[in-house]
Amino acid sequence: MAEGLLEIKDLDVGYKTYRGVTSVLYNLNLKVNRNETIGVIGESGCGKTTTMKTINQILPDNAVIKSGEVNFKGKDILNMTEKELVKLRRRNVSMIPQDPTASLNPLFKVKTQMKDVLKYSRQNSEDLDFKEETIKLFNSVALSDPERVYDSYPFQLSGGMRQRVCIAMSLAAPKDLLIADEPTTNLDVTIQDQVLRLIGEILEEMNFSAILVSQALGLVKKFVDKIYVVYGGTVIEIADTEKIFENPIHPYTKGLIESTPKLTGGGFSSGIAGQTPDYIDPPSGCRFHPRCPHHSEDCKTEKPKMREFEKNHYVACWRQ
Amino acid sequence: MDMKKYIGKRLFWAIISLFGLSLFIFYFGRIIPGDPIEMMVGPRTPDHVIENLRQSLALDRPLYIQYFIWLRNVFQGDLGFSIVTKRSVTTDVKTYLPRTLELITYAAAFQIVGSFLLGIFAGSNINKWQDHVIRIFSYIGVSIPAFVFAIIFQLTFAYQLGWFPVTGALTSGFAHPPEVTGFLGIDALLAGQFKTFINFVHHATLPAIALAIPGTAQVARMIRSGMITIKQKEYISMAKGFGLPERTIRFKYLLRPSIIPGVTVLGMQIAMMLGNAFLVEMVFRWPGFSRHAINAMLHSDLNTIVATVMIIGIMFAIINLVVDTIVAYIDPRIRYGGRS
Ligand SMILES: Nc1ncnc2c1ncn2[C@@H]1O[C@H](COP(=O)(O)OP(=O)(O)OP(=O)(O)O)[C@@H](O)[C@H]1O
Ligand SMILES: [Mg+2]
Repeated sequence: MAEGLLEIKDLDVGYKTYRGVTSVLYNLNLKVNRNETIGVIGESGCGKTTTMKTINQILPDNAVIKSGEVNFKGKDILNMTEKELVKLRRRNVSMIPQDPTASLNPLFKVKTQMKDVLKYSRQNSEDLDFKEETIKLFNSVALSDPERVYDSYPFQLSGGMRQRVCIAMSLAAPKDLLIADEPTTNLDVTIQDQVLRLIGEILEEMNFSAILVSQALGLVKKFVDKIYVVYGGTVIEIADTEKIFENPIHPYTKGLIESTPKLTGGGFSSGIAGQTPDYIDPPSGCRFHPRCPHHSEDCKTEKPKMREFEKNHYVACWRQ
Repeated sequence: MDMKKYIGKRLFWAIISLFGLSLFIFYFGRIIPGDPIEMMVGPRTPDHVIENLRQSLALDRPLYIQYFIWLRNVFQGDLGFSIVTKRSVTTDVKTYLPRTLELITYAAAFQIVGSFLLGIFAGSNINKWQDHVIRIFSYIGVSIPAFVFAIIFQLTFAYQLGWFPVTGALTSGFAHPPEVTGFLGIDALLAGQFKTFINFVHHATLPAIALAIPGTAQVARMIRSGMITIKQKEYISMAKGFGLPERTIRFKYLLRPSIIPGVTVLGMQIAMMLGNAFLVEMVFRWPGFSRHAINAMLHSDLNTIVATVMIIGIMFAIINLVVDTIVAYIDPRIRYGGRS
């Protein structure tokens, strides 16, 4: 049994909305071992960002964590004090955001924001030459013209440059876990590949444990050891990366593999008829059943348990 | 950097608007009332006298020439005579306007400090009791006009409790300081008459607070809601995610974008005080320009009305310029042209 770094158990998270409290994450289980890179895959709106933001506790104010555990190095993040959380964010968990444009403050220069990140995440940062460190980081993420970027406002940079700045921020201090939440979805198609390759290099070089989030299986397969397929706020299939492509079991996983990413860069169409569930009143039993071509009565009444299909390959589906 | 260019551009537009305003005022003051000669002379004045008068006042020249002559007079400080005070309007302005500007400056100080403190305090304690208390204050402040507060304050804190003087700007017996700037407070300080200065401020406090309350309430609400909006932004979550301390996030990364709408409205509120001061000055018998202007309006004193409109226009132009400059300083996207 490999040593667990992060272990999410039966996590239920929703949001307060004007229609009531939603149930987005539902019995979500996920595990990252030390030095392991996993991929978390699912359609838009299936709860990937919600899961990631639970890990370092930066969910929006209207989020409600109903139950579950998020154990990091054996300690439950959900029971941590604010002080412990701040320490966790500074020392242990880093996140590359989904939308770099929205993730940088528009009113402050890159250097100001970089400086604060360095100041608070580096140990003994008092005697740090912030400019020198920033430029070093910019070079490591292959930002061209780092001096200019350093002295710019975010709106003066291209999308790709902004994302490189965000990546530089997430690398500001050594951490145990790097979360990349769809780091290329909001970038031009031409830039997507470069940024993804950069992240691949970083993962290889730095021996991080990492979670790579994506809507498309194909996009992450080069980089991850294991894949978690998420639907409607719960994990429905887990397998080593090759296995999932060789032998996908869940109808949803099959659908994801068969469909191809749209080239327009506007995300990804799953090729599976139907929509993600309404989280105010989600489907009973297996949340996928209304869209599943093979569903039976069992699927409507009871949530399928995660079962071992073969070694290192788990699936939650009544048909297996 | 680009800031200078930006201010230059704003200044240019301010001047254009004032030019437009002057055209309007000229039309309003010279054309609408009819033939000024007929208003000046009696019915049995001989024709050649009228003709001479017309020539000497340049009323026989084309309209645009008349406009430039009028504009030249304005720039030379000649605004005509007031039929109410029987003095030159310029003299009236010099006598009364400084009192009002002093009152407005004092009120603006209350408004800036008050709205920021309340807004930030409410925005930092959303839905806690502090927020509720401030919300109640805001509702009351926004829905009741300044002069009502003036009456309430006067009755309570001046008449009943006696903490403040009831009316006026200086207790009788206090000699006015020698006039240097025309501003009573400043002149008193320049002359080293601190007691006079304190006495003046004491008189101005209640009217200034009354004048400040409605705007304070509105701007405080805008700052509060600005903070709520910005709090939900991704960049605030990310700042938190990178381990920045709560204090740095709140007072640096959250506050700055949150106050932009509030600052704009704050400027408008201060500019509008000149109008709102009318009734407050009446209540406190404050020897200010607003009270004087109302009087002029009631007596159809055209020259004074023209001067009032002009002063309000200039005031708006100046405050707009200041606000635009501050907002551009806060938000670089504006400075660098076009928001993305
Ligand atoms: N602040 C919020 N308030 C209410 N509902 C929210 C909020 N944030 C997210 N949701 C809802 O929760 C569900 C999951 O959202 P989440 O952002 O986790 O999805 P995602 O898998 O990251 O999707 P994407 O691939 O588009 O980023 C969606 O239905 C979304 O509308
Ligand atoms: Mg997401």
